[in-house]
Amino acid sequence: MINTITKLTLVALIVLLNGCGSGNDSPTALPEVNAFESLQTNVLEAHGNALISALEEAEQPLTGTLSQSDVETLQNNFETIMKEWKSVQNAYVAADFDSALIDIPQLMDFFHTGKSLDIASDVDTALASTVNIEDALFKNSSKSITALEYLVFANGESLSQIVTLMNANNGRRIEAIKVSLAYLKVKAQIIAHFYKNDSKFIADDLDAANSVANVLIDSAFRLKEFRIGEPAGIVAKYADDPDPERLEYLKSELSLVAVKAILLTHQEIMGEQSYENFGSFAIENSAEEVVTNIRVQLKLALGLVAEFSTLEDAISTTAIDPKIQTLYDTIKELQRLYFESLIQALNLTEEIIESDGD
Amino acid sequence: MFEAFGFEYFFDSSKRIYIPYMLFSLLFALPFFWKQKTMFKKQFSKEVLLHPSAKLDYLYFVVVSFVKVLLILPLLIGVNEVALWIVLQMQDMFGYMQRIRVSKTVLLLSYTGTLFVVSDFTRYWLHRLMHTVPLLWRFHKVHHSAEVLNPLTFYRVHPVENLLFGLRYALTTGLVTAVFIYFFGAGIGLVEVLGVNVFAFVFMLFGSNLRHSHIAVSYGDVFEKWIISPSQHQLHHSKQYTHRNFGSALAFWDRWFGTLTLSKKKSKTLTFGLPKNEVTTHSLLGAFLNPFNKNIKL
Repeated sequence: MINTITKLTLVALIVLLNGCGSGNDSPTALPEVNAFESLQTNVLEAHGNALISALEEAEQPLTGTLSQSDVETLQNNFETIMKEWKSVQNAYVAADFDSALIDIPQLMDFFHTGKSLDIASDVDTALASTVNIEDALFKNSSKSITALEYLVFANGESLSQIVTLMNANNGRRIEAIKVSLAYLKVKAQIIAHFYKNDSKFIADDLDAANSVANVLIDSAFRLKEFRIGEPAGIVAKYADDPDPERLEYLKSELSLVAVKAILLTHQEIMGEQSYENFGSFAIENSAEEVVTNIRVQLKLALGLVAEFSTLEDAISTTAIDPKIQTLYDTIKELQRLYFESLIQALNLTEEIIESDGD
Repeated sequence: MFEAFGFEYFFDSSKRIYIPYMLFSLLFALPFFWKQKTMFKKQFSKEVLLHPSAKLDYLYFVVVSFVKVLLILPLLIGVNEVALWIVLQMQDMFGYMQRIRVSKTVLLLSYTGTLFVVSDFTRYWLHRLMHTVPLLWRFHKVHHSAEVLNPLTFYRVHPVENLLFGLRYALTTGLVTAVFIYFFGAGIGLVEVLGVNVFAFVFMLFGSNLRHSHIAVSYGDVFEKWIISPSQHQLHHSKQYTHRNFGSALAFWDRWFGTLTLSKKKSKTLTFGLPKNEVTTHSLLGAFLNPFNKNIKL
């Protein structure tokens, strides 16, 4: 009897071990596609390069005394910089593949960092001092995109007042803008260099998919909470206490433009595009329904955004545009769908058999 | 049709009675063979294999496969829904959480290990409640009414108990998954062998099929304080120690909560089945219907 058992078990072991190592690399087993290479080229690298170009272009008119038209151009350039930056920031997967790049966005943008900073005051101190402007702007926050907005738009003064501010004190404000642009350009070049030259992101589809999913979830959460919910007094922390001071670009009144840029970036990643992206990749991996829902939600959100002139108009301490709540809910649903797609990919199935009692 | 009868379980590596697991269990038990020749013989004797209790196990296994698919599965909450709901609640309650970055290996191992341990913990408590809450005990008695043990006895479980354990699974897996997603984001996954959690695989490969058998494999005092041995589970099925050793894989829940009994306590011959004052039935209808009302005695 023992011999029979031994033979049987050896046969079973061979069968068993032949199957070993074929474990499911959850979240899901993914076929080979070049969606992430396409995403890297068409979205990540493209926006990195566009950000550098925008920063360089903004430097051009900064010579001598600025006219009203120069300042207007500068402000328009700031809008382009900001939009490109929002795209780079809200698709920032580089941190997952190179630890040296983790902190770059935090060195460029100081909106909602959790730190108590008065960037405008720091910049004013630097402008008022007599030391070299580069030394005066020693803090990273004073050279960030947040600081740049203040340098270009001040506190939302009229164009003629800003022209005066620019040319005052031998154009020290203009010099400060140059320092900020140069600082941001160095950071942007680091990011663009990674997307252009590094293949870590495209090396493994699963890692890339996880990274993109994380970025989208994170971005959608920040969008609804920090950029809409908090200023509008929707979130619990500021319930019924709206305050436009919490908007991201109050001084330039570009908060809505930033929201739109973020949603468009999501659309570039998830929406139907001429190139392969995460949305097409997910569809190829049996997630068509959730991708379709995400695309619908993105269109809805962009449609709502188009109904506002500015968020600064829509949110005041006394009156809130009711459509803000709808926009918040739409982006909340978008984030829920991102989570849903992520959890679906984990293949967690109802298990009733092996959970029986013992 | 083949699937509905439950026969596919023998060929499915996620099931305990996957044929290679059962055969490996026998190999694992071989060192004990010399000491327990009579027990091996007994396991494969007509007395055990054709016992009315065993016959009910076989029939029950087939019938309950239909019940699970047709009645229980549609009633279960999905793990995905639970995980999604919890992670969104966590965000609402605790706010934004900067994702913690850890290496892929650490993340996979942590998730796999946590899921196994937390799942074992909730199994312990639900199993214990099945014994201590009178209403639940009426349903769990179906499992304990087995007077001889074989691997199919594992499936001799009332559908109500199936449902409760299914809900437990959904809540446990959903909770652990949501917490991991909240803190670590995407990238979580299981370390698996043959599509099974590696820890569960090891558990199923070694002693799990011996738990419901007459082959007493003991791990010794030291190990039995950490891992439930087949022998300890056989004690749990004995009339004397029915309400001890509730653990599935890990023994420390029993040790910490005062319900552990080591296999050295075992007498030479164990009598399996319900305690003396309980009525045993080996009828299929009785197994399904008796728990619903004390007055039903089929």
